Amino acid sequence: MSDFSERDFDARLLDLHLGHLSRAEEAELRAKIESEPALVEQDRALTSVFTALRAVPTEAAPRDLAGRVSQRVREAGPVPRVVRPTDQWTAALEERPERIIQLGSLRDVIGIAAIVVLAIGLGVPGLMHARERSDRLACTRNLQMLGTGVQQYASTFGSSLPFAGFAQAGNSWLPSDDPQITTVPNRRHVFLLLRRNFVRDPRVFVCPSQHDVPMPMDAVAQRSDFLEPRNVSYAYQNMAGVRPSPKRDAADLPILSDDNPLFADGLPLFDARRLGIGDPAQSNSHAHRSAGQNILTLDGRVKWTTTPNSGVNGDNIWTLEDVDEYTGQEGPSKSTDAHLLK
Amino acid sequence: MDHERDEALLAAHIAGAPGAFDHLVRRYADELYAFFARFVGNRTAADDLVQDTFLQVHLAAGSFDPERTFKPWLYTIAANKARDFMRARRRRPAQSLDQAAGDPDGPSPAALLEADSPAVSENSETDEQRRRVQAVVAAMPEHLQLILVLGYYQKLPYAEIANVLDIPVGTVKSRLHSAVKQFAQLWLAENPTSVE
Repeated sequence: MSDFSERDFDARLLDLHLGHLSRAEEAELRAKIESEPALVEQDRALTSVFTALRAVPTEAAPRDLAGRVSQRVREAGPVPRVVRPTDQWTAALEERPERIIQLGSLRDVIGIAAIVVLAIGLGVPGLMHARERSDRLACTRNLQMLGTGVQQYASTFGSSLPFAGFAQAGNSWLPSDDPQITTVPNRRHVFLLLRRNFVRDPRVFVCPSQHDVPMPMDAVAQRSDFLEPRNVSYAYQNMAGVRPSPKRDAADLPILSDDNPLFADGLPLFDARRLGIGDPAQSNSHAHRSAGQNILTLDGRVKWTTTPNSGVNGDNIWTLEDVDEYTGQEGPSKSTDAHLLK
Repeated sequence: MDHERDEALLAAHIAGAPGAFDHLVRRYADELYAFFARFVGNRTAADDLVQDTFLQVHLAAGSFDPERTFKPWLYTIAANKARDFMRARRRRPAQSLDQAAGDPDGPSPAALLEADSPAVSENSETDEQRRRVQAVVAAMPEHLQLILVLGYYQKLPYAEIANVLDIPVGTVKSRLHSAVKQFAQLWLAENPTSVE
C-alpha cells in the first residue's frame, strides 16, 4: 500500500484522475505507469482515494429554489446604478446640452482651458501655484476614482474594504530584517483595486505632485503587490487592526490620503523629535509642498485639509491612538481611529 | 434566451430586460447548491447561501466588468459567502437543542438536524462511507477543503479556479495536490484496508 505520509505522488497522476489530460497525454502516462512499479502503487492508492471521494453524492437542490431566488431578487428592485465620475460629467452635459453649444466642442473647451492655464502660467509669477492647484485637482480626481473603486469593491465583497490579509504573528507592515518576520506593506490592500479591475488605470494611483511612476499594466496580473513603493502615492487605512465597514462606521472616517509624512516607505520618522523639530505628527503630507493633503473618506467624499487632525472628532490621521513606538504589527483598536500609511 | 452567454444575460438584466436574471438563476442554482452543500455540509445553509449569492450578484451587477467572465465572478462571490458562513459558524458558541427551541425567528436545531439528515438510503454501508468521507474532508484546513470542492466536485478548470481565488494557476495545482494528499493521508490512516 502507498504511504502518503512519507511519500508523494506524481503530479501528472492528479491531472489524470481529474480528467485534465488530453487523450494522447493520458495514453502516454498510462504506458509509463505500466512500466514503473512506483507509479502503479501511487495510481492504485489515488484510485482508492477518488473512489472514496465519489461516495459523497451531489446534493439535489430543492425544486423551488430557483423560483424563490428569482422572487427575492425581484423584491430587491432594479440593479443599483454604479455612479462613476465620468458618468456624473456626462449626465450634467445631458441635462444642459446648451453648455456644449455655447462653448463649442469638447476639444475647443479643452483648448481654451489650456490657453488660459498657459497664459496665467507665463504671465504671472504664480506659475508654480497654478501648477500646484492643477496637480491638486488631478490628485482629487484620482482619489475620487479610487473611492469609486473602493465602493464597488465593498459592494462586491459584502461591505469589506480592500483587504489582502494580515496575520499579527509573523507579519509586519514595517520593513523588517528579522528572518522570522514577513514584511507585508499596507499598500498591498489597495493594490487589490488594480489587481481585480475595480480601478483599471495604474496612473490613478500616482499623485501628479509626486515623483512616482505608474506600475506597468502587464505586470499587474501575476502580482499581489505593487512592483515598487513609488507605484502608489497614496496612504491607505492601516488594516492590521479593526477594519472599517461602510455599513457600520462613521462616514467621515479617512481611508485614503496623500502620503503619510511620518512613514517614508514605511519607516517611521519619529526620531525627528530628538532633533527638536517640533511635533512631526502635526506635519502635513509632503505631497503638496506641505500645504495640506487630500483625504478620501469612507462615504466616498474627497476633501482638502490643512491639518492632519482631520479624522473623526479631530483624530490625527498619521498616528494610532496610544502608540508611541511602532513595530509594524499595530493596527487601529477602534473604528474611529484613522492611521493612513503606504 | 436559453442559449445566450452568461455575460449577455447579465448585461440584459442590468438594462432591465425581464427574465434575463431568471435564466442565470436557473442555469447556476443547482450547481451552486451542490457547491455549498458540500463545502458547508448543511442543506438549510446551502439554500440560504444560494439566495444570498444571487442577491449579491444582482446588487453588484452594475460594477461587473463586462470584459470578465461571469462564472468565475459568481464563484468568487459564492466562495466569499461560504467562507463568511464558516467563520461565523466557528465564532458562534454551541447551543443546546433546548436553548434554541424557544427562538421565535426560526426552526429549532432539532428541526434543522432533521432537515439536514441525508436522504434515507437502502444501502446503509454507502451512507456510512459517505459520512466518513465528509468527516475527513471537514477535518482539513478550510482553503484545502475549498479547492478540493472546486477542483474535484465542481470540476472547474485550473484557470477558472485561479480566477475565482485570485491566485496563480501554479498555486492552484500545488494547493489541489496538497488537498488530495492530505485527504489521502487522513483517509488511509482511518481506512488502511481501503487499498488492495
